[in-house]
Amino acid sequence: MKYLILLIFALYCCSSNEKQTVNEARVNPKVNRFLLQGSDFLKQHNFTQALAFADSADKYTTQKAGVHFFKGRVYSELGRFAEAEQAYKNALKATPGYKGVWNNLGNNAFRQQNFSLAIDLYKKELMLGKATIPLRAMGRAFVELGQTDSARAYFEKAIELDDKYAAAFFNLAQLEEDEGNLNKALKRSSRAYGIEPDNLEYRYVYSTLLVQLGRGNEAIYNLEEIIKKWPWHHGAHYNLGRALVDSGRKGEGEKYLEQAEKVRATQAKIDHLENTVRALPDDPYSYAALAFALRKVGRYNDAMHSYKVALYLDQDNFDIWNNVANLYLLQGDTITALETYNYIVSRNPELTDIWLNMGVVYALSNQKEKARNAWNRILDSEPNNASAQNFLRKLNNN
Amino acid sequence: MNLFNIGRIIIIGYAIFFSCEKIKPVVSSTIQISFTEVTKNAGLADFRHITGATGDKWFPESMGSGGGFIDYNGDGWPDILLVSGGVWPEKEKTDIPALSLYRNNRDGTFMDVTASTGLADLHTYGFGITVADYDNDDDQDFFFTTIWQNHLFRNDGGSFVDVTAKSGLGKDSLWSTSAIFFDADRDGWADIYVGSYVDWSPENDIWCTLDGITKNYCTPELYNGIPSRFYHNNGNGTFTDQTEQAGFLPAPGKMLGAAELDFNNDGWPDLAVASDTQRDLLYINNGNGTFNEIGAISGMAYDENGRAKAGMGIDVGVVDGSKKETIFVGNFSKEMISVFRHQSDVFFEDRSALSKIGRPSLMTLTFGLFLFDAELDGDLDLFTANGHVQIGIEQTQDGIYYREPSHLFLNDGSGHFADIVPIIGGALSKPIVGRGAAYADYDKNGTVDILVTENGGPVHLYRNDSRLNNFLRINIKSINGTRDGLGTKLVGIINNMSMERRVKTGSSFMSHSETTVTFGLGNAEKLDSLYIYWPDGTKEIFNNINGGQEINIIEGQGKLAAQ
Repeated sequence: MKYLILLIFALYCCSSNEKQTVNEARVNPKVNRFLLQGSDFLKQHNFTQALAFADSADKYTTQKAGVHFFKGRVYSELGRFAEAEQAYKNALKATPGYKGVWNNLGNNAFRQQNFSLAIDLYKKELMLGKATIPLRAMGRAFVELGQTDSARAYFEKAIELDDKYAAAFFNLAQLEEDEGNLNKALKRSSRAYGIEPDNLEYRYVYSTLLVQLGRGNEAIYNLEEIIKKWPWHHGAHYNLGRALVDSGRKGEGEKYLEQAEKVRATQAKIDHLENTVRALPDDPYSYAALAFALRKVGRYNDAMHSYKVALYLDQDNFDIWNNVANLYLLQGDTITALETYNYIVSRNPELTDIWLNMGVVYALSNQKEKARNAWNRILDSEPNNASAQNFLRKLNNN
Repeated sequence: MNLFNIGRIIIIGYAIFFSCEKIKPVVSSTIQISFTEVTKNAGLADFRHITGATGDKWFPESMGSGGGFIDYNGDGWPDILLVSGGVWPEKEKTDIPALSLYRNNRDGTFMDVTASTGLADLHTYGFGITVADYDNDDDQDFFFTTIWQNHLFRNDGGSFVDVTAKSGLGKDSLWSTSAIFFDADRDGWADIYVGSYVDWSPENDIWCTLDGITKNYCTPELYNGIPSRFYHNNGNGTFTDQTEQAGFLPAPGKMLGAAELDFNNDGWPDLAVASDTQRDLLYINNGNGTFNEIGAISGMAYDENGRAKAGMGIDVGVVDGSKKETIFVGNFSKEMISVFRHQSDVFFEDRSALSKIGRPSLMTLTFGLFLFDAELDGDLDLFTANGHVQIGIEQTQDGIYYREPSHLFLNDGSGHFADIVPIIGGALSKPIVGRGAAYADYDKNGTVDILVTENGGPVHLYRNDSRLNNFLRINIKSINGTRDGLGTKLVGIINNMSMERRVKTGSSFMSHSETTVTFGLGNAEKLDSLYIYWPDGTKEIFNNINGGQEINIIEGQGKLAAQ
């Protein structure tokens, strides 16, 4: 149970929140349950439901800080910074000194590129006690302001507290790289990668440093493995191309460089769409467009996040719901896809395209009767629907 | 084919570390760098660049324009030619002259001679200039880029005639940016490469915003790039579009800067091109005036993560003892200035961070950029003019400013640089909305001075008041190449250390610097040897040339003439 409670706060908060939440849970187990369920929904990017469970928890507790804190996290993930700030401030009002609040407020300031404010907020978190997360966050904010000496000092302080803090080693590596200290950067990134060998970002930076140091042949295997998992990653394609060329495998390298250009062009479009959602945080179509672009390159989890933000902004948009269902299908989650289709037609039974899709998914999962019912449902209202007739004919012939 | 078409479901919606031999500092350690703004005293204070902005935030308004130095009257003193910007005919009826020309009075001041030189009647929306003697008649002509038709001005005895129509360079009506004269096929006539940007017009203007409420200037990702063009000089006053035949197609467009180089030392001019949010380009000359684009394979097209940066100004030079050329490209804020040194074969190494330029350049947006020997110590230093494109960027990006100080990166002789502007302060530290940048020794005291244009603002003339090291300045005249010697390589030797310079146009951002070559001699009294590699492949050597003077050399005559 304690593990699950921790999960609620894994993304953002300092470790001491665990204790804070457990104390609240002791007051009322229902609160704990609602927050856990809310957390599950948050993990699935189901923001509306997550907030609903937070409201439910709110009804059963007099110690509100944890609930407000959770809401702050949901709004932060939605990129709705004003609401997040209010929720976090409510948490502080309920329990002054609630750990993690200032850190998360700092993160939101950082995301809005207000790095000076972020630093002020992280400092407030650190006044509650030394912790690695706000120390590293301070370092990152100083990097953005070009104050690299301060940045280095904070990364090093974080490492002093936890010499297995891979993220801080990683940030130090990037700092050294920017300053042209490639050997030092390699050493730092090697440490980060060594601590978290499954972290592809650390593996990638370690590999690029090898390429920059003229040791591209040592990076080829790593970069190939990264591309298998992140086929959309233009930097991995580019560096693999460079590594191959540098290793004398010019023909192979050129192919990866060509591919890198294609991937880069796609990424440039995604970058633009990300800028658009930052500028237009209330526009569901901007999020849907971003989601569509992310889905196209195979970044399904990121795409789902964007679609779900779009749905939070426009709960009745059935085109977006349909795309969410389709994305579940692409992720191999047929059950949730079908649940979503059913949810859509329960809201609007006249959407023939949804019935059509639902029938296809039932058919593919060998649930012929349900497929037939779905397509017949179309013919009830559109007796001449050629697609439904065609699918039914094929189904009957098999 | 699957029975059930699943597709239907989706449809709805190196570092090989050169241990580079250092160009030994020939400078005394007590040298003091100092630049003084002399714009007002020089008589340039009335100039204002006009963006034509009336609130619609049309994309070209954020671009700014260039300017530079031209010796239009052939008196050996650099005059100043500035692009005034423009207004939108749809919005404003007031026309302003597209260009402003200022004659050097040889006393540190300039006089506006725009009208008397025939330049006052041109009204357009202008961007850049590049200067060369395209018709080999011993005077300086210039090419002027605009958002519509570009213009070629022929110098007829100190006044200018618009020969655009006759030259064949006025057929296109595209958004052009930087242009460069160079002799691509070494036939002795200056050809021209004209950079093109994006397909923008008031009719296809896109609404962009930083805050979701207010329209702001777009970035180029949203528009289709237009490939740049290459025109071959026919030697009779006309040019022929040979963009495709010469190998310049296809190209991504969005070009903002071009520089001539010869990285493989084959005597044929190559071309490096800076592109905004597209890969930078490297055109290798096939030895016949046609080119292959090898940017990506060479390693200079992208940053270390394969990202295309927002390339703006560009320059190339030998900055260390490797004798290899290094390409410098100014980029957007939060992007390092790119530094790529030729390695071997066609390959370049990324030294953006290693050069120590990368990190200090991360917070600024660099447009104009050029290499010159600021303190006359023998190595090339880097000046950059900076300024953001978004008014009010401070409100949305902490640590980034619309008005930015310049950078002056001093070279320690080994290709490692340090920005001295934060240390010396003064004129260069004043935040401006920098765009074009060019250099010349306008007061002929041996030190190289700086001219910077602002978007929607004044021009700045920064006099180089650095405590003097010794110098040697050289004007060349080619007989078998273009008259102004484009593509000529000069190598100066002092104490067995070499300094390499190239006579060229282009470089920087939409601006033109003098073609006079400056060698910083430090404390030395003379240049031991001077090797001149003429464009026709011949070489001349001169020995023991006294410093402290400006000399003229004519190809093949084997003698120096003091100016």
